[in-house]
Amino acid sequence: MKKLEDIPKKNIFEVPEGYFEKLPGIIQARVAQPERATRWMPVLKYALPVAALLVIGFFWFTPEPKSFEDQLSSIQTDQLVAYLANTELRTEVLMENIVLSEEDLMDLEETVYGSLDIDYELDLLLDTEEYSEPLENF
Amino acid sequence: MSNFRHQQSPLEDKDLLLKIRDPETRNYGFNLLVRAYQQRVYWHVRKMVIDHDDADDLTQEVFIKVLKAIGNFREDSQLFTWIYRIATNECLTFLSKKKRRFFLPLEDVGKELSNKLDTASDISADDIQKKLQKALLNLPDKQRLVFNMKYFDELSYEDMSQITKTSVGALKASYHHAVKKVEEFLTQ
Repeated sequence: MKKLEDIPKKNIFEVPEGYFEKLPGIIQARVAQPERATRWMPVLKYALPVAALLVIGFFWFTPEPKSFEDQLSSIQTDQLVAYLANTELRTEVLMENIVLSEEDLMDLEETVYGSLDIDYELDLLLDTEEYSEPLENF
Repeated sequence: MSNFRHQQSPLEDKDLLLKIRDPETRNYGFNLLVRAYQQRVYWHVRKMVIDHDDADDLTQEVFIKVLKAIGNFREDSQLFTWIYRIATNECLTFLSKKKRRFFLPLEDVGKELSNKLDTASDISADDIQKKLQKALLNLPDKQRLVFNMKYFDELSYEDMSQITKTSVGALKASYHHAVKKVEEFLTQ
């Protein structure tokens, strides 16, 4: 059996000439470099993609705001009826806040007058005192 | 066959630390520390990683980490065992990463390092010395480390215990087994 103690102890590895004279200067130069950029780089490397994903996710998952009409139409009729029944809103107040276009007015007129018996209504009007005289020119 | 021409005394170490901790003399103190310990660190690393360029990179990393962590150094342990511990961790981490990075099984990394012994121009060894180094490459990294520290660096078991945070008994057993395996290999 070969014994370890029979083998001369020797360092078989070599270094380039002047290596240990230069090494302290090389290390000193490395530690003298500004640390700021290198310290934050690893943080930025991970923080930026995460921040980008969060921003994308926010816009992706945030629903688009509904228009006024869409919001109104989403309210159930019975909810509207219940609301109106439980408030003290008067017709005059409601009407003040409605802005009707020409088209709306014509539709409204059609809806209201279309359902009336004109002759009967006129007769009712004519029966008032103000219209007691016969309408000769009618 | 210790690689160290001059061993720092505790007083010299204390002086180094004072200089490094003073902002005005920090760079000068650190320069002195590097000069005092560079060879010990380099040879310790070189014996583990075989290749000079790898050893050079790791040695620089060791001292950069020493400077960063010097504030945490508790003076109840020796400066050199603390620095040696950092160097040991760097070697083991390097070798471990090397094995993982290339998906190499353990013996392939050993084979790669063994080939470097044959081909590198900065390794001059007769056959028996090369055979000894190749025998060492067959050992697990930590056991190889223990062998190097005891056989080549001639460290005491107490110092090795401080460096590796392993008991003296375990270190003695590890070294004894390492010697047996090496002798069997040399006899083949």
